[in-house]
Amino acid sequence: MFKKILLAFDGSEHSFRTVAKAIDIAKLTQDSKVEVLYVLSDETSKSEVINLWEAEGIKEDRLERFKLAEEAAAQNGIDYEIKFLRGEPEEKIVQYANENSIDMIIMGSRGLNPFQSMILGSVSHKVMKRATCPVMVVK
Amino acid sequence: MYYRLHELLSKKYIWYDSLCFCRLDFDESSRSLKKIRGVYLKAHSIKEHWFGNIKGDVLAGIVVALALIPEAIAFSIIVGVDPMVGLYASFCIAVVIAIVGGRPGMISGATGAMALLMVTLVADHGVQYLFATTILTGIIQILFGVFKLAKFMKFIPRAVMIGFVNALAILIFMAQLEQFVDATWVMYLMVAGALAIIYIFPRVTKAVPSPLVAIIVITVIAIMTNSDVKTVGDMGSLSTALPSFLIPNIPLNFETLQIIFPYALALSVVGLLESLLTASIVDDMTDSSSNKNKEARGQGIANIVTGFFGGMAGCAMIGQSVINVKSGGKGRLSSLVAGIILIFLILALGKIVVQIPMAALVGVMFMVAIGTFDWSSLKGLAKAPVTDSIVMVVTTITTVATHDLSKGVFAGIILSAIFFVAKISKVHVTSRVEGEKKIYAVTGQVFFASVEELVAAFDFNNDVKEVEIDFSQAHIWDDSGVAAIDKIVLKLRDNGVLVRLAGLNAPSSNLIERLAVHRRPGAKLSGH
Repeated sequence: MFKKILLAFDGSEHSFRTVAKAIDIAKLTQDSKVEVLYVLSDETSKSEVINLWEAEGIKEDRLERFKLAEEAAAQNGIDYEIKFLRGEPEEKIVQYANENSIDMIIMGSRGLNPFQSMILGSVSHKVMKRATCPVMVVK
Repeated sequence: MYYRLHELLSKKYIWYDSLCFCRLDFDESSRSLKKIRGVYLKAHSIKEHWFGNIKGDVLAGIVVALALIPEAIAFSIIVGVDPMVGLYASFCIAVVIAIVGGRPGMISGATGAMALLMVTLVADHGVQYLFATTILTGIIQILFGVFKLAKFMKFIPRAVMIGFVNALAILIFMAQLEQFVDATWVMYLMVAGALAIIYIFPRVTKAVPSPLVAIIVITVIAIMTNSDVKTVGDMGSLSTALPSFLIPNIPLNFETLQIIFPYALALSVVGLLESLLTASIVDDMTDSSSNKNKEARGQGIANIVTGFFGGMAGCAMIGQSVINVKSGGKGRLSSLVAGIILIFLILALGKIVVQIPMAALVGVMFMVAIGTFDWSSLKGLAKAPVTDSIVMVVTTITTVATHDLSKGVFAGIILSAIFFVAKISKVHVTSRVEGEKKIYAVTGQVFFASVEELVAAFDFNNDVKEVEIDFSQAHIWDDSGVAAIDKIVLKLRDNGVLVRLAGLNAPSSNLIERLAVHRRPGAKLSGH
């Protein structure tokens, strides 16, 4: 049913919960594939450079974060692929899903309060509004 | 432009940056490039740096120019000089850096970090000394670049960097508060209005920078309602002339140097710090690499030129560079366009610029402060090691208390060094008895900070015949370490124990060979 699953991942703790859900859903369909998408926004770039200084170290650090997700996928025999994109997360997720005929988007919710989501904007809300496929938001 | 390996083999030199040749050092025996790795292989040509992205660069340059104007004016006001000083600085620096910078796509100009360092200089000695300091700052920065000191910026711990960035944000915020002294409710309302526009307007469109929209709207309201709030014109005069070459009007003597050198040194370090940090952010955002030493030299050249054209010292700007890259700018042209559009707008619209209410600028500066602050560091406070958090907080507090970013960074580095020494100075000694022999196994770094702990771990009143000290998990670093081992060996020997050192690695054993006295005949325990 859901053959091409897009997992929006940012390496944060709560995004690991989305990994488990993605694996559960991928298991339901034979030959399904999980495309793990990590969108680097300017905010991420800024804060990671301040925290890590060197560009080389940052790349390793980012790949490191996928390790847990990769292990989980490998254990369950799920086919997966990791992609990095740069830009605004909500735009890139929707664009990628629509262009690559993704069957389902799975993403985490940051759990912002109403004021934060007014200023920062809720990524999951925007993706739900604009994506043409089903979207699962993992709380 | 990317070179493939076989292309490189046919060349002795390649362009690795727009103005620099890079010599290739090819090692025939191992068929590998010795000197040139990663960064150099991604070589770019001049043409691509300048004209690889004309449309994106021009559009982004215009957006950046519009965003630069309010900040340049506001930073001049923080320093206490005419708005033209900041505007000329942003113009000169943006144009010069476009040509000589090491990171295409990065935007430099008058910045808050630099402005905050100049306040007392201008208050005590006047603006002419500021120009001289700016020139000296440039000279020091060129020396940093020439002697390739940029890599030492890596020695600044992360916690200090975060503390530095946060302190900068707090200081920019605090510098605005004096505008509220004796202010009427109109002022508060205008600041609130400006902030509302800044944060809500991007939901309508992101094509025009929202701070500029806020300034235009608030200015129009102020003019229409004839409100008598403070305006830019009240803070200083604005001339509609191009910057012209001038030599700072100061006595050229040692006394002058004594005044300006400390300021210039602090400005150089802070300027390079922010520039290299920004360059790394742009590197990451564009997934490319840049020449940091060239950037240091470029910043220096830009500041020298700025000083001679009546501008204040500046550096790269994180916020503006992010705006530039997001708006599609990535080449050198973007910075050049930003500079030229900025000065053009000031020349054309100078009469309107003086009517901008301070309230609008305060709103913009609040936004700059909020955007500069690394909010994720607050979340990190709970997770990071407690020493890192202390370093960060101390850096921030020292900076905010002294109003001097260089003092805060210095305090942070010293504290990190102390914590680091404390952390690695833990030596661990275990002992076991094998028949007549007692074996001590030392784990850790043996150096000045850890010797006390090391000596204390030994039991000298034991009645064993033989002692072996196993150093296979330890490293001896300095003469204090060797002296401590001497002390242990001689003391045991005094008690008639046979001592053997085992498992020393090569550098440690060399050090012992050179410095230890216990090997010499007739060695006795000395006073210390």
